[in-house]
Amino acid sequence: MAVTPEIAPVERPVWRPWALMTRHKSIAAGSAIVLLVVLMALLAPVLSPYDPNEVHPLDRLKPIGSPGYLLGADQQGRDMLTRLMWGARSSLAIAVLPLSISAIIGLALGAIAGYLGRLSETLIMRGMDVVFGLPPILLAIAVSATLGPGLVNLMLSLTIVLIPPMTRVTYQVVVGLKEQAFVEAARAAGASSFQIIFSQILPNSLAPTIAYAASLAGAMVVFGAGISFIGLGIQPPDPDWGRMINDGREVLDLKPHVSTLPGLAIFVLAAGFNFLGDGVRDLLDPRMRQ
Amino acid sequence: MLQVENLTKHYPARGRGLFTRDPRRVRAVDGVSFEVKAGEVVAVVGESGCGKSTLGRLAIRLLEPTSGSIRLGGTDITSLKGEALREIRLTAQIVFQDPFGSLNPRMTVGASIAYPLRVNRLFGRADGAAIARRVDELLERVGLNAAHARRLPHELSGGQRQRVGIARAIAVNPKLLVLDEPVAALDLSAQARVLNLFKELQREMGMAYLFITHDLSVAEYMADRILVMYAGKLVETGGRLALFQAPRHPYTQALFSAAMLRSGRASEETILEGDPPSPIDPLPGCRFNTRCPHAGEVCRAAEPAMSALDDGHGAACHLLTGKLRRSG
Ligand SMILES: Nc1ncnc2c1ncn2[C@@H]1O[C@H](COP(=O)(O)OP(=O)(O)OP(=O)(O)O)[C@@H](O)[C@H]1O
Ligand SMILES: [Mg+2]
Repeated sequence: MAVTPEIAPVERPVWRPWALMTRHKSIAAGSAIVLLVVLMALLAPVLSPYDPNEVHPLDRLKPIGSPGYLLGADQQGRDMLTRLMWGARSSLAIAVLPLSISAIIGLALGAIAGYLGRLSETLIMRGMDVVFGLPPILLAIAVSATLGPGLVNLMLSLTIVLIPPMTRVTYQVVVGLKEQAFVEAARAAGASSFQIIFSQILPNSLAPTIAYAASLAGAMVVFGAGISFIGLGIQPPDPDWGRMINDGREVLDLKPHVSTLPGLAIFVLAAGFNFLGDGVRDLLDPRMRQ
Repeated sequence: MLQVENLTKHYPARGRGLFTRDPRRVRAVDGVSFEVKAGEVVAVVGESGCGKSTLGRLAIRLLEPTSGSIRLGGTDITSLKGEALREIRLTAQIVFQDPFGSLNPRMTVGASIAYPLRVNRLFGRADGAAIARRVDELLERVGLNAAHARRLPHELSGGQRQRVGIARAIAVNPKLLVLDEPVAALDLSAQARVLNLFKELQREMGMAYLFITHDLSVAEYMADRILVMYAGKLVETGGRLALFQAPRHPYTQALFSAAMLRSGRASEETILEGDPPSPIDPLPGCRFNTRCPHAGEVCRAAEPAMSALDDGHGAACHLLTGKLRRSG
């Protein structure tokens, strides 16, 4: 038999960030905003005019645009711009770390429950249902109240809240993957369940899970700020946007800038993460792709 | 090579109430016995849903049988598990119907072909170069070339992908290949070329094939012997010539008449009316009685056993046991 291999020239996908940006405007907008906030947070020690907790009793509640206080001052005369820059740090940590950690745990649990099935499925998935049947906000409040305040405990409680949805998303993807012929082919090749999970299941469930995590980052900024706002997260005097909104509550009618500026910051960062997350989801999740 | 006795696979019926499981069973494969000798090509033919794929997967224990026994190369593999089950993958392999779904979209062609070599540790853990050489050799063997190893499946045509599936299956030098409609998804010219590849490989490597197909011309081209399935049962088995020239079961006669007519070997086509019976809790008697032109009382009452005809030819029909007279 004459065999003529037909190899057509194929354009291989190349990593071109610029093309990515121009083709996906929401990724461009989102990464610009997030990058700006990241720079602000990183350079806060260099750029900020004051120490974040430095009080100036004589300059209490200075309005926006006052000399020396570009964005005004709060009730204790602390510079708003300085505190907003430093406060970006906790917001970013809250947006990124709990999602990343819970995504890793959710991938592992979801892959095991979805692929192995049987007892592991019952234990893991019913466990998620039972323990995490509560609304996430209540659960976060309960965990934060139990663990006590502080950034680390806040992130821990957010991680716990995020594990069930991450596990469920991965589980659903894995249950679908398990039916795919290539997974049966791997079994027919002689692979063990462990080898199949690592070589076939995880590489193919990574994208949907990451896409899901990315789409939640904006909500996490708001969620984390909310916990700090009600006093269960970051504690005074540490600068945090949610905490700062609370600080300005009593003077909201007279000096609205104290609450409004951190609120605006939360909104902008959340929007940035949402743009970025939606873009990443469109890019990674084939179901969303045209 | 492969001996199957009284093999049965029941699935739970899919229709299920909100709170209650449907207690009925789909009898996908029901009491099937046959043998595949070393180096022999045995085709399994039958309509869609008659249980061909289930039978093929049972034969190499990708599925667990409900009852019956399977022997592969002299060892009983009916209830193997874990490590012992994985060992039979070196003896028996499978090529799937769907050339798109059966390759991991994120693995290069080379990685897919190397996969059985790696998971079975046929080369040293660090012997990447030896594995790569073997992959190149396999690619050439199935009519592709070394450059394909770096491609992803979506960059290949259906025929090329199926060749990758074949290379993966023969990578471990198996003695038995189950081919589950391996050309059904390909266009005609690719079908012909892939069938020829199967012939060549079989001749050179001396493998036995369990070749599942619904296309009788494919069975005629490939098979030494043919198994005819109907609703989970074997209704006729025999050599290729015997089945094409003198089919004895009314179902086989009807099934083959269309193919024979096309090639001018029959004068009229027997048209099968109606659908095959539901494989869920079938009625007693012969499964074919609802569509059989000769069916009588006995066919609704008793299930016909396989009658041995001449020379390895057998059919399960009451016409052959003398309990029923041919009508018309
Ligand atoms: N996992 C399953 N659960 C329940 N029923 C099943 C399952 N797999 C197959 N069946 C049923 O078993 C019967 C035989 O299926 P099988 O796939 O073996 O048929 P087939 O002859 O290969 O058909 P086709 O030509 O369409 O591939 C069908 O009625 C099918 O609906
Ligand atoms: Mg099938």
